[in-house]
Amino acid sequence: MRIFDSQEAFLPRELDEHLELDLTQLDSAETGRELNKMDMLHLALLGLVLPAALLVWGWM
Amino acid sequence: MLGTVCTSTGVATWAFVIGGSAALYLNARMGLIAMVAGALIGQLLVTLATTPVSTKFGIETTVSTKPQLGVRGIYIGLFLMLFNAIGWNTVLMIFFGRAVASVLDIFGLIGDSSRYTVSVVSSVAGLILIGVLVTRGTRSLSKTGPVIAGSIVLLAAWLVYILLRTHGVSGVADAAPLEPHDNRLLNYTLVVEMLIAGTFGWWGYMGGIVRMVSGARKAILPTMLGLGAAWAVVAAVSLFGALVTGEPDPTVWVPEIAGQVGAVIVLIFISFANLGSTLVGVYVSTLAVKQTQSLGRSLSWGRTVALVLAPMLFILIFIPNMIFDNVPIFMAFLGMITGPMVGVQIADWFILRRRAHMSVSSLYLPGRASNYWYLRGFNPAGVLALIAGSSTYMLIMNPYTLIPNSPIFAYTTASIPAVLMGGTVYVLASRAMWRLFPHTHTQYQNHRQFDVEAS
Repeated sequence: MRIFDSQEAFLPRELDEHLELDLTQLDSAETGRELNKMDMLHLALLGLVLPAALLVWGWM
Repeated sequence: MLGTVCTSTGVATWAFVIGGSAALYLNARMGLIAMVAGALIGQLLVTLATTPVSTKFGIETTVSTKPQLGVRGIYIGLFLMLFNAIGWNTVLMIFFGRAVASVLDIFGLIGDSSRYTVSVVSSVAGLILIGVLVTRGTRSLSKTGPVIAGSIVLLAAWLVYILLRTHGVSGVADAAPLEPHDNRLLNYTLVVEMLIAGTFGWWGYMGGIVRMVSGARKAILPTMLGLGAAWAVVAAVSLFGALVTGEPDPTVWVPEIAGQVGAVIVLIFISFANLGSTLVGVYVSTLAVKQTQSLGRSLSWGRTVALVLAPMLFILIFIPNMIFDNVPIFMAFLGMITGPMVGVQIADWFILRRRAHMSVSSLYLPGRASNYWYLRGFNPAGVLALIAGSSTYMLIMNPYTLIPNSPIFAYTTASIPAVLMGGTVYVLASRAMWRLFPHTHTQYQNHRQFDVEAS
């Protein structure tokens, strides 16, 4: 579970005072997954190829 | 869930403003295509700038600007976010108040003389209601988002139906643009530019919306379709209506073709759409303020909500028309100041490989304890890139008059060069800074190397 999954966002002071969390622990917290090459391809299709094709079609 | 929140955020009265403006330059077919294409291009850039960092570390957009702008420079990011959110959401709430007043007027419950007062009181009441919902946190978003998104889809479909029933497919398709320039390409590019710059308005929202998603992949389709394509499609309703009636305001053209009952339905539609969008806007604005060093630590969540609502309430009560009458200029400024920031964040993540060198603790450590202190709390590379990007925009397009300053606008738009210039200057200036001030480069690399899971 990631540290930031709280409803009211991340409150450093409260964590410092009540949970006694060392902020540097954040650098070793679990992270979400990144975009891989296939995700980037999907993004490029939706955000570059499709608009380019639409614009050419609209111009004709 | 993410898709419905994105859709309820994206689909609002600003879609009607854009659609009506697009009708000035293009017919139905070209206008619809240019709007969808522009929105997708703009959303691609915003998604690349915000989603990777927000989904990987669970942080919202303003905090994510600290590595690029510095510990003190983050207030530039906060300004960009609040300028956008307060401006847009104030417009929405003014429209909401006017819609309520119009409904009461149609039913004969108020007269023309009290219309202004009723619209202001309704706007303020609506904003306070939103404030109460936001104090309850994200649960309010999860409950209202699907209802609002569903209502919007149904009502948009109904609007298209009455337009086609009244004027026919050929009547809509053959309607000429209202005030086009002589240059066909210029008209086309102006509408693409409007949608790119308008979609940059989601930049400040993105982190707050997607930060709870466990991976960037899950955010691609909801943001590209919900925030990107959906608002352009709804804007098409206003485009078609403006083309066949010559009137861009839907509260004017709908009664013309659908009578008073239709007008009431559309006004309720506007009210629903605006409440949903403003709800998200106030939430992410509160989140942004909450994560700053000084205000965020000293104020409770409820008081931070009140702080965000205060300038909006001031505008709603005292100067409601000043922003409302200048929406296209406001949008141009959005492109001018947000575009370079988008370029800087994309370059920082993908070219300077921030994804492998992010110090999350430094996002929250105060002052010089943070790796992102740089020079007196500002990252000169980031600030320089913002100035260069905004200057590029102004060289190509005058944001005050919305008239291109350069013939290249027709081929490039103004926002895309601003993004490219911002990113390029940021990379070059960062590398120069690392040479001149080696400690900044040491700080940049001197912490845990994150595994890049899927690259």
